[in-house]
Amino acid sequence: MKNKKISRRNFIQKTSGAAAGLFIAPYFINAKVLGRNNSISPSNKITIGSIGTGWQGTYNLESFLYEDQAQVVAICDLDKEHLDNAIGLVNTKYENNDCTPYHKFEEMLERKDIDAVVISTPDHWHAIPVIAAAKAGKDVFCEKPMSHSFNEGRAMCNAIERYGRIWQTGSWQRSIPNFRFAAELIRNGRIGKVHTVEVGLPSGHTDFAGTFGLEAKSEPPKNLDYERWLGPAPYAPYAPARVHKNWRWNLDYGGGQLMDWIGHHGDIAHWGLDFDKTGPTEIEGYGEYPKTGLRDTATKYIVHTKYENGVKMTIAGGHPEVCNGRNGTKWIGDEGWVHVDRSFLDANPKSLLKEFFGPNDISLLKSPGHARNFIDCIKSRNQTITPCETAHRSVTPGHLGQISMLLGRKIYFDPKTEKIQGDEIASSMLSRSYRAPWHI
Amino acid sequence: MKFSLVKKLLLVIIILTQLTNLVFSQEKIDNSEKNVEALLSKISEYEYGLNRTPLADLSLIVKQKLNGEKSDYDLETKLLDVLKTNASFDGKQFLCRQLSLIGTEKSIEQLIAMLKDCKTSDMARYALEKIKSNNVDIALIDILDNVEPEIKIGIINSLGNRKSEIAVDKLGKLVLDNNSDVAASAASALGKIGSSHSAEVLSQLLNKTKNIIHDVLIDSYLLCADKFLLDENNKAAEEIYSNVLANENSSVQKIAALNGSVLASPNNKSSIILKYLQSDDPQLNQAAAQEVRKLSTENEFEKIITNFNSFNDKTKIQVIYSIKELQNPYFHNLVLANAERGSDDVRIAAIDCLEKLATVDDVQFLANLALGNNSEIDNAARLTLDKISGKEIDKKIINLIVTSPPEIQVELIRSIGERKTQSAFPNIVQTAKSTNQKVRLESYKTLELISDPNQLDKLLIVFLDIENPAELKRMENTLAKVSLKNENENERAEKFLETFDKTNDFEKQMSLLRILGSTGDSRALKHIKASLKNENEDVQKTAIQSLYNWPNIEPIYDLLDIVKTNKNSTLQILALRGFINLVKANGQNENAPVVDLYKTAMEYSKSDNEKIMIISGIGDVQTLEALNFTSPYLNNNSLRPEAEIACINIISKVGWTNPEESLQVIETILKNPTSSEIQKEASRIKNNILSK
Repeated sequence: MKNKKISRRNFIQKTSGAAAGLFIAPYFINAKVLGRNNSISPSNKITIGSIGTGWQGTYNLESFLYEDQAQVVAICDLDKEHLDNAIGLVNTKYENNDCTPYHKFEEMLERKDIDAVVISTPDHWHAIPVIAAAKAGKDVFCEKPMSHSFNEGRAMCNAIERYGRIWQTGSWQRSIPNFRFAAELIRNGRIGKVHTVEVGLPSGHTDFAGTFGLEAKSEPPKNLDYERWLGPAPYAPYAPARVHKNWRWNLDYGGGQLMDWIGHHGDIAHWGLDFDKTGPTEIEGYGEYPKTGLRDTATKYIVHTKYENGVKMTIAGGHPEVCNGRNGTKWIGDEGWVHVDRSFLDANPKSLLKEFFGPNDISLLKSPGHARNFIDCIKSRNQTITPCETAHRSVTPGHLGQISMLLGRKIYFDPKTEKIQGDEIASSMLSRSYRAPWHI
Repeated sequence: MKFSLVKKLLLVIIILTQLTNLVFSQEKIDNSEKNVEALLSKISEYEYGLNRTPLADLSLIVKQKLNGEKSDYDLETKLLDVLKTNASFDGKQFLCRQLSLIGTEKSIEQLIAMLKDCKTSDMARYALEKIKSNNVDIALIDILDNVEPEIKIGIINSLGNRKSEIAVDKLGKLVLDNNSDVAASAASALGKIGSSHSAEVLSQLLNKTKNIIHDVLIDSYLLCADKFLLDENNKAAEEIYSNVLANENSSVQKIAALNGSVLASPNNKSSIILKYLQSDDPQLNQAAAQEVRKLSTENEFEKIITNFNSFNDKTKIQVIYSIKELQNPYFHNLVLANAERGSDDVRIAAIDCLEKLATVDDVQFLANLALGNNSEIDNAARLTLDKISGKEIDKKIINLIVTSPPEIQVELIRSIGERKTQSAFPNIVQTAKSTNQKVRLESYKTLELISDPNQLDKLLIVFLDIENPAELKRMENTLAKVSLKNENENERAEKFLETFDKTNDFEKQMSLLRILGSTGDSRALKHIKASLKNENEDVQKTAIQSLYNWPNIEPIYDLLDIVKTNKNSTLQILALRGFINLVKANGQNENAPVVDLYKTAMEYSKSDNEKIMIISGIGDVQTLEALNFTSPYLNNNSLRPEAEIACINIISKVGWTNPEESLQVIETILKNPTSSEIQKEASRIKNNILSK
């Protein structure tokens, strides 16, 4: 149960429709240019189609429902229950029955009146709809990790760039002031020259859906189009533990804790170091993989990476020696350190926590909220706070770490050409083969 | 000698390699032929849902092989032998995945045989797609005409992924296949191959296709151009981009071609961009505006500047955003001119853009603009003024403060605060003594932002000169906030205590007493406690109120003592409120007997307002004891709404551990909820508890 604290004020906000799900903040730049002069006509609204409305998809949907400049007009899901629930949410919010349900995303993308899509499908179902959406001229909000394989990520970035689309990744931590402040401390050299970064991630597997143990093959429920849910992934019979929420623990559909979180704390590590357009040169990982059961992603892992400028970044789950056993990002420089997590910000020296930045300091983009930033950028055609290339680079250490762990050896990577050096087998693991007829 | 050095180096490398293997191969699996055969026997019967250990073990043996471990048998052959049997589907699929790592030409024949069967086709491709041999391509092409459409599509996709040059002609023919899925896959594969030959084949097909297939062809055609661009064959790339732009393709396809065209024509990019900035297609306007970021020479910039007025407003705005990203001073005059006049939308964008382009000479302009009568323009100017970087900008703002009229001074002082320009401290101390009240008030605010605790002496001089009570209150805030910047609590009160003793001004003494209450300094607390016993009631009141925000629970019993023993009802009420405030602020403190303290407060509270404060506070405590204390107030109509919220907050924390007690309270709430929101939240929590 979530500790969702309520107060009178919250109640008033809710009843007045001002609560904005996860993110709400005033946006004060170019309000009129972006259509924020409190007079938004329906034609000024960004129309949105939501693809995948399960767990995270519902959060994403709600965050757009509370954006006054967005109008959710279509929902697509392979699970009828999810679809009905999401349609209900939208129609209740808008007090009409205008939102159109879709089973196939291709049909939704044919609609000319949709400006952008929000893709919150399992990882193995990101690349195909993203590239199709870009080709159809839609701007894209996609969950993290943005790709299921390294080459998918590159292809997605190329498509977004080629077709001039705006992209936002679900790496929402960049829209939170604490993380921006921590990254600005690093960018402004407040801990001197950074030599080491520790990225602490969760370990093990969590039973998000309560389906652990339900691993024997069985008939898929009638509400779920399981064949299409598998999509490009290798065929496997239906089992409850394979699908909703817990798909992330199977390498055919997700990447375990490492890939689930690299797009958060790894992303923040890159942000602080200005690594949004580069990647590691050396990657050496070790993971412990379960031998029994359906789940086959690493439960305990450590990935050591080194970047061109000599910075060493260690990404780990289940290793108390990394990040003092906490989650989050810890940069260590020759004059101090900064450690940030969702509910935590610490530094040495402590005085760093009271630092402020003026116009003469490096200032990172301020996002008024993750969904809001996406909407604003659709209008201004500026880059969002997590553009596609950034998202791709953020998860690169994860993909390469995964390959190193699975292959059992260190790999060398050229971040400029994005090629693995001198290792054909490792290179072949940068992509996945798709089940017919799927392709990107 | 040299040879010996080489030998030594080799030895070191071998040792390092062995060490690396040791580090990685923590779990070693017996890779003897006997063990492998035993594992394969189990794998041949494997079905999803069964024990996966044999699969995991064989994966480790494959991993060991990939890392150089020797064996006296051929692992690939062993795997292929199982594929030839009637082993289970799931087992075969697993083995094909292993062959994708260790497969060689030896595997082709068996995998091709499996490829023809719908059931095993995909798994065979997983392996074939990764085997580095032209013979794989030849074999794949050979069977294309003899398989079902679904299998054919898979093979075509694999040929595309393999960038199979020898498949181009065959794929070209398949683009015209009657089966549209086959045709689309073939068109897509030609793009992935991205060679001159595939581009040529694609160009020949452009006039022979329509609708979806045509769209896929265009995408592939553009992919080929992008590949040419990467290979620095700009001429070939440009040819494709121009072709797509010139013909009747969709806006989005033209956007892609425009993007590429700008990159492929470095000497002509400004003309290309200009053409599309002026086109009738808003989507192309938008794309061209984004391309302005790719311009780099003054000649190119000049072309945009000269033609800027021919763009529509939306395009102007988007071009200005691109200029902001370019940050090139060559655009300064254009942006300034658009900030001065034109439509509001364009002006706001231009003012925003000045953040990156403004010079010291623009500071006055922005300050004047911030004082206008158009709130959106004013705000934009203010924000820009606060964000322009450069030490010379700071200096200019400081200098202008001296010479500007009061209304501009206010704007500039505010900006000093937002910019945190600490070097302006002496100037703002001066403006704090201005004859104009608005200037003084803005100065007090700004001093809060730019001062550090070492400057308290100077701030206290300003403070002591203030006569107006409202201004005194504002400066009181400044002093309190500046003192809190000192990390050492026990250094915060010194200057205030000194000043307290020096001044005879009663109002100022009371103000200092309130400031002392925010410091957390033990010397301050001693002083306040003494003031609680002062004969003057006003001093007592101020002393009580100064403790409202004391950072810990230490003075709580002093306040309780007043509640219990003081005969002055006003002081009692004030003390009780202070007491509740302190308990509330320390509600999360595990060492504080919070619930007992709330009980005490409730005992002495007389009005519903006070009781509501207590109930609201206890909602933060989130223990079963707190729930037991709060739930009886659900029976009091005046207090019920607050009690409902408090109970829900507590249950949201203790519901897991105390489901029975929590459900009982939830049921009481649900019997007669005071609002639909309460009902909804209580039902949600009830369902959460029940679902576990």
